[in-house]
Amino acid sequence: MNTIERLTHNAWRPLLTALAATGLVLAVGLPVAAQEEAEAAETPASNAPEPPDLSRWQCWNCPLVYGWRGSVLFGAGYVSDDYAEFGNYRGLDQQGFYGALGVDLTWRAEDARYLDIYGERLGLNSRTLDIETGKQGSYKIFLGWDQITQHRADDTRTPFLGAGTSNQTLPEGWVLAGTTDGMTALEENLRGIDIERERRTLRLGVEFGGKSPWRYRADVRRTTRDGNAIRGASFIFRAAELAAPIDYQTTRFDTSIAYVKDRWQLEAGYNVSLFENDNQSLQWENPFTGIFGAQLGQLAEPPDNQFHQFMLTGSWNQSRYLSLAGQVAMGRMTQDDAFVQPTVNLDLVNPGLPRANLDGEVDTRIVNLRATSNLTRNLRARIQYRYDERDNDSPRDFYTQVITDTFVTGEVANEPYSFDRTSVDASLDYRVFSFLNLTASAERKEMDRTLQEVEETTTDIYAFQARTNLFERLNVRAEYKREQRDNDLDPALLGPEVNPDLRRFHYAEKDRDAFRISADYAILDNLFAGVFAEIADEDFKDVLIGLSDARAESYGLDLSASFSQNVSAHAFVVFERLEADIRGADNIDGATWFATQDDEFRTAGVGVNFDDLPGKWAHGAIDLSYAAADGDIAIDKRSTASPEFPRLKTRRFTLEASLERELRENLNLRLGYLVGKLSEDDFFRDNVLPGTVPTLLSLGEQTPDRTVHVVSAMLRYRFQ
Amino acid sequence: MQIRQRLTEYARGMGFAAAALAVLLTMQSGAAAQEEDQEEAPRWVTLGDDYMPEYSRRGADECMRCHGDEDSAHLNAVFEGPHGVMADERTPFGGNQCEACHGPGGDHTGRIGFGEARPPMPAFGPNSPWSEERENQVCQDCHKEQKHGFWEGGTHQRQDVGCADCHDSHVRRDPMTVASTQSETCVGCHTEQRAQLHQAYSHPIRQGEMACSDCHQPHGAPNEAMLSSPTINQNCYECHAEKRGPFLFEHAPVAEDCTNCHKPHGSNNPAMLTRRAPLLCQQCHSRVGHAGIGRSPNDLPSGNPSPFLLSGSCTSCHSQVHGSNHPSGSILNR
Repeated sequence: MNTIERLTHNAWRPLLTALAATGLVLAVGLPVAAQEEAEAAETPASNAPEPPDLSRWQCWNCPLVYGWRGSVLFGAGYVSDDYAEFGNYRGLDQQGFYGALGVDLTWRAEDARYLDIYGERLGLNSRTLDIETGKQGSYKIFLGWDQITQHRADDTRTPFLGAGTSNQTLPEGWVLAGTTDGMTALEENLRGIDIERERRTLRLGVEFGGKSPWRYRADVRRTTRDGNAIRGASFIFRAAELAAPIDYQTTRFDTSIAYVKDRWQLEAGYNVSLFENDNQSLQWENPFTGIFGAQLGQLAEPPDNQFHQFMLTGSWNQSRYLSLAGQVAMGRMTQDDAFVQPTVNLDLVNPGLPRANLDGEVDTRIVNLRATSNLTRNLRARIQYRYDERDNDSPRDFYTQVITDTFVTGEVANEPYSFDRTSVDASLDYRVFSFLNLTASAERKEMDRTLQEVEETTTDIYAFQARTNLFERLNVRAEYKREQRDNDLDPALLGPEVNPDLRRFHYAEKDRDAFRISADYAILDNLFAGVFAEIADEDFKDVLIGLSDARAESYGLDLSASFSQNVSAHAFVVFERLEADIRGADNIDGATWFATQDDEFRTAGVGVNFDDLPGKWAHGAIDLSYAAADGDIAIDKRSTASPEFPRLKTRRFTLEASLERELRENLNLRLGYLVGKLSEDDFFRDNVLPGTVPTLLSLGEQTPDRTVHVVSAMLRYRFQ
Repeated sequence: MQIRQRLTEYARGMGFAAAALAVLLTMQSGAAAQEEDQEEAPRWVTLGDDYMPEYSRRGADECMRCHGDEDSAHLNAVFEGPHGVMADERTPFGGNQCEACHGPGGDHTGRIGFGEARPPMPAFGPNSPWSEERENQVCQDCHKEQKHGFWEGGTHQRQDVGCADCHDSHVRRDPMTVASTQSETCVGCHTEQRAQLHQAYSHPIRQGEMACSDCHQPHGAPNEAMLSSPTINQNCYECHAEKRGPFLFEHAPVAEDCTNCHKPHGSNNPAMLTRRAPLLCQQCHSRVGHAGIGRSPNDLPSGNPSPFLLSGSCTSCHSQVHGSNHPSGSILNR
């Protein structure tokens, strides 16, 4: 089905529905609006006061601030241990001293010119710095630097030379074997390789505005990512885990021009995203005894790609009776990176390729529209229409497959995947009494896909919500939502080698029920409590193979208190449970099994903050959080007696405290303490050393179980 | 799952909710008792949004007579921030000063009789009579940029969230504009997300490296979940452009919706996956060969350690789950 057909067939139908519904709202709303406006016209003139005589409003007593304001923080800290998982995103992964630097400064001139500098963790390799300058109300220029480090593991080991690069070879004297226990040179050749990467983003932007309704904005961002990631690399049923290289650059350019008036506005924007990868492929030597000359393997790295999008956004508040808002976007994703050869096995004849690159092209078309109307003071209506199309125009060809650089099989055609989805939802909010609001909504979603066993799914969602503040200090909300999804499954399209009973969960017919209740209560003027409970149950109908049931429940309580203007505290506790039932079969004509995965989370935290206490204590904070999770996986394989999987556990405890005291007029001393304890039990990784699995040469990543302490002492110089 | 078990768990959930509600109502009854002897409501209460006194005679100078002392230092920080710039006519202090936001203060600053209560400012103050909707309108009268144009009809607006519930205009730097402090405000209401951010695998929000607004547009974007980009996948590709493709061999659920496999607010599974492989993959893959075989504890290191279960499981071989550009990569292993 081509694009026009799809649009005609699918997009227009809900769009027409939306338009009809909008027309209905207008048909009802506008007469009401006209009547109310007429009534308003009959009432006495507006009660708006006379505008003030601003010539008398001199603001002599206003403590206007010009020059520098803010503070600079500098000092040193100490990390007690190397701990990759703790340092993840924090930059505190290595034992030893580090420089601590932060800045929070603003300079203002009387004529509205300003310079704003804000930076955190500047002495670490996870840091951020933003500088903005301009003339308020006229223009601004901003420059930003953001650096994030991600540390996954520091206990991983590999025998490959060049680990983390695009060409990984085996050391001299390596002994090939069919399984890892025969690799007699493995242990002596294992070297540590940390799994980590870093993301650095430089951002530059300008904005022009002011009194004119025109607004102009341009923003360019260059993100560089380098480091490595774990990637499996296989030969038939043998695999090695590699530290694959990450050398990515993404350049993003956004520009827009907008026209902003009191009641309406329109913005046209153009977005470009260019992705470049320094590595086209990753080659590695087969550490196992290769068959058919398979000594070398090659993986394709993510190809360079581009995305261009033109977007029009706007809103119009005609009156309280009608507001329209929406966005229309048309984009194109392209990719024409040259293909690597089907195999690097010199013993095989490389099959010919139908083309040198994919010449891939995907067009995206997106429409999000919303109409809102306050039909009366107590009745409010909303209609939304959404359309999202991914039209994959990439050429379709047949490619001869060389399985894992080992042997040549038949041809396989690539399957350029296209879809479009539309949704229309309408809702009504009715204020029954001053203390009771009811909301009812209905939504229909339709999704059409290509090249799948399910080409169309239709989902209907109905929701009801009640909100009440019957008592002055208590707000209660309750919501029930029902979702039903149907499809046009054609099992024949599953293919001859796929279990005919398979129903993929994201296409499968299902019923989903969700109920949520929450309440906020002001126990005292300075003490607030909130509770919530939520249950959701998904029943995937007709599923003999695949995800058949999923269920989620969560409960929570949070408290917040302010003991004075300068002291506040908060606490929360949340319990969450996720359950899933999965049905499978060892082959396609029986031998079924039944598995469950149940995850249970318990999270709690408490914190106290104070400012400007007597005794020159300028600031203090203590924040404690605890997160525990247990995961249970069980499988019932035709009642075969089997031991149980060990429980998956994570425990994370973090305590962060800081204390700041004024030493003299402009100088404070800030002391900080951070302790983190993280432990995990994960049978997928625990005790799986590089040679543990006969047919998998792993990196031997183990789960963490360590505690780390960080202390810091800093001086804060205040500009005031 | 057995119906009885479900009913039992529903009942437990409902019981929890009912118990919590009962506790709150009990506490409420105590508070309500204290409020029985209310005097007749003053006119600003009865007028509500229509309460519109005259402006004060001297503007902020009048305000500063009482609010210029040390006790009001936290209010006077407004002069360090963007709202206190007199040279910018768009800001409060380029116009009607304090009363630009708080409404006309003629009553509040005027003379009152002995024993009379001082009338409140119409907006953004203790006992202010203007509704949250009316207060929001005050902010929107100036903040008309595109992202605010979506406010009407957005989820936060419909749930009666006020601008001042999240933003602080009396500070030099609004915490909502800083990545490391923004999420504290958001999770104040979104308690489940707060818990998920603490799970073992999550985006670096609790470390202060990401803000909620890196993904969400809280002023009412008309797309799903008020995302910054028009669709979920476009949102993810903002930072993960290498997953965008198009690839020669695609993995349809990936191109369709990243949340088919990932939980963006946090998960107990590496890579924020919804489940562990191989079960994650076996939700959709059951065919001739090894894909459908149920993996049991016999595949642990204590038994016959299996690559189909341990370490990366399916991804130890099929590592290109986001798509492959290799001519021999139809099964996403090249």
